[in-house]
Amino acid sequence: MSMPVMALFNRSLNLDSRKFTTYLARIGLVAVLLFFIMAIHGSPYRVSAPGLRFFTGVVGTSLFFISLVGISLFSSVITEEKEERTLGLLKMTGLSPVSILLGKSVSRIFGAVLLLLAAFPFTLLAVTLGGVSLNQIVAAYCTVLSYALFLGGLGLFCSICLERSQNAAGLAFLMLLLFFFLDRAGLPLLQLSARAAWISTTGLFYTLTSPVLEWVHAASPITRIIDILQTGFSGSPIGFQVVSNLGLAGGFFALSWLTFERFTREVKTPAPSRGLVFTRTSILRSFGVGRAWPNALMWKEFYFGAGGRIGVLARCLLLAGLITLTAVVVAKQGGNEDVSQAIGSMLMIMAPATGYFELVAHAGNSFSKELKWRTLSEIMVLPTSTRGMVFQKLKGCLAGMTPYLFFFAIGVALAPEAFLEAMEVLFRSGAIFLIIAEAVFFLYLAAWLSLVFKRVGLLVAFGMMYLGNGLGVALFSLVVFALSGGRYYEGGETTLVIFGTVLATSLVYPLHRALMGRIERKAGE
Amino acid sequence: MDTGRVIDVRRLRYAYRKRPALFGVTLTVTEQSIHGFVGPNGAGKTTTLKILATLLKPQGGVVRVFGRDVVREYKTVRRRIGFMPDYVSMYRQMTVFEYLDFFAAAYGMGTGRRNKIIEEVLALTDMEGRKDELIKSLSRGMAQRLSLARVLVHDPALLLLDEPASGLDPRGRIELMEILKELRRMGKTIFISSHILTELTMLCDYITIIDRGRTKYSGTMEALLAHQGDVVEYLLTLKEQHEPTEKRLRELDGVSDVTRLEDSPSYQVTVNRESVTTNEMLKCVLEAGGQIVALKENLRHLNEAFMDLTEPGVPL
Repeated sequence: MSMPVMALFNRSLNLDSRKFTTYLARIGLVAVLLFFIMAIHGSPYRVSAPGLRFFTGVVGTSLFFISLVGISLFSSVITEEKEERTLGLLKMTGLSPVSILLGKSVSRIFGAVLLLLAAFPFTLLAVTLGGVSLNQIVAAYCTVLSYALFLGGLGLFCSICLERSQNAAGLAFLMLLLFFFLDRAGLPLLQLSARAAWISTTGLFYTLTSPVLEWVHAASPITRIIDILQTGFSGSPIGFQVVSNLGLAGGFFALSWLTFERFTREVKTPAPSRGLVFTRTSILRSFGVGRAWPNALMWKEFYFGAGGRIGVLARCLLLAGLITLTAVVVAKQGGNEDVSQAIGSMLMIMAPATGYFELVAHAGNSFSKELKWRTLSEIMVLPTSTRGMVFQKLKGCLAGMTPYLFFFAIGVALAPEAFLEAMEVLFRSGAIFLIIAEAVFFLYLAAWLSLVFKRVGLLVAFGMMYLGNGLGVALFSLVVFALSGGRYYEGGETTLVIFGTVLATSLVYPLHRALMGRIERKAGE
Repeated sequence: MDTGRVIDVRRLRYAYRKRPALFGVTLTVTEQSIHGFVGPNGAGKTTTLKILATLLKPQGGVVRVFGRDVVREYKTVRRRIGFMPDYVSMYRQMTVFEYLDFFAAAYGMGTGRRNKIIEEVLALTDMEGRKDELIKSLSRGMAQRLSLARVLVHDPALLLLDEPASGLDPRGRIELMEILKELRRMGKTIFISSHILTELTMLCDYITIIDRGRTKYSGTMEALLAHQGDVVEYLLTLKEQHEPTEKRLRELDGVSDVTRLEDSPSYQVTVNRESVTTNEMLKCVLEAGGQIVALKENLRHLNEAFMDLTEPGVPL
């Protein structure tokens, strides 16, 4: 590497090392590992092969962490320079595209590798605990590290193609979802289609698609980790997954290099996207923005946050597509299952779940976008309270989510017995209260963290909920186990539900205050 | 509330965490005036404006807008003010019309009234032909005009403008100043922060100068620009250069200095106001045979007053 590249590398490394999130991720990972050690230590007689159990948890968490951190870390490599409008200055220094790409991305990869290596000494304990060999540990680390490099390449490419970090992270996330679930959804669908004689196993489509899906399956770190964690694994640490992931990393890097000039030639003034919201002069103006509603913030959030009428239509189409898919699958299975019951059950789960996660995503994005485009102070001088402003925004988002409510009602109408049964279970166990309390808590958490962490607030919120719930349940089980003298305690689940509900509910108000305070402070900055 | 007192700030204090920004700013803005607010970078102008706009809460002192407390009665204050920040902040994905319509609706206006007022503010800011354009396609100058239009959309009585001319080309600045004059004629009170002192001199009736979080001057522009004390400078212009007049003036009691301005029939005459009057000076010139074209008191430039009142260097 020439000296200018080193300067860029040093600068990126320095900037990354000053970020609070870098340390938060490391602390988070090590805290989880320590917890796994404590959990195994606390229950030595209940678990067979404790080392393998511990190691499974460690590898799973590492994969989750690196995916979570990697998406935000790598997909902002170039977009952050575009957003700060400093990419042009970098190019003026005479650095070649490959130098910029290397200087910027190697430091991030370095950070990701350091994150994983921070956990390495702990994982060696797995050998001491028993049930796992050193070869398995090395193989698992090769898998995770090669996956991190692949993620680095993917993120870099997305950050070259797109102008904004958020969009780049979204694209990287979608591509990663495709990578992980293409084989898992595609292979069974392909086989089902072949069994139903929709496609021929000797036809061109099957011949072309099947090897691709099998290749994706073999290249997936999940497949590889499952193999490695089998007792008695004695394969080479460098398997097909490692080679393919490194190949993909190199491929994406080369693609980024080749397209660098093309995508960065024009310096665009960053501006928020309007999406598919048509103007009043457009041919499709009937799908466009109408006059502002008396509740103006709600109007703004409905059209420019939740996608407006086109967004509502897209949600309806998505759910209609799911209905069709369920009907087809049930019909082709030819069992005794009632199609309307199956559709109803699917809608009762999918509609609220998708709607809720979309709402959380909006909560996370809404304020961070206002901050990013410096518009928060504009709406904060409107004659309304901060709380009023937040709830108006929420109402706008909810207005966009009405298709989910509508389809949920259809689901209930199609399968009323299943609904009543589920409600009975949820109310009897008290889980309904826990679900509601956690849902409200998570909504607040996502909104608040989006104002605390630039870009990664939503990801941190997801991570905190995942870890908080996992750790909470495990810690609670340990305490109950210890208090009951090592015997099974029948009321454990109910106590856990009550404990979780009370905890989540009691945290909502402080979070509400923190969110309001944060909004007011940020608007004044 | 004192009649005509729109802004009343007394001993205002504010600190960002441990860094104090305002140490006791005091100022008053009267109704239907243009009040300039100047100071070096980091003096506390934007902080003061944000407090007046209810975006920050004062940590000490009294801040009243239209006699209302900016903390307790913030909703009432917000209805009567229009705040334009020192940066272009807009929903750039919206069209000009959508943007103004949104803000007008947010202030509780009905559709009919909104149509009328949007037309009016677009006409005032000379943006009538652009209402269906996306904001992100507007130039900096146009975006500033739109920002001003947004501030006016709910017909506020007080405009708080933080560096409204920053980033504008000379034509844009002149046009903006014309709009502000028009707004004064319409009865608005304007509190404007700017670094462009020459334009403020022409525009403002009152001015407040702050430095390092303290008020250095707050009062009429005229009083600030007038020379302090008994010594006054006059600019005397004759039809042509005239040695006898110059000589007679030098001999006149109370005249301390007469300087001929290079290659012109103009003289800078420094006199003691107590010892000689303007009439006596004019009589002396006429008696010496000088043909007077003009005589005016040489006011200080705002730049000079600013430099005199503020300390050099950047506050830490």
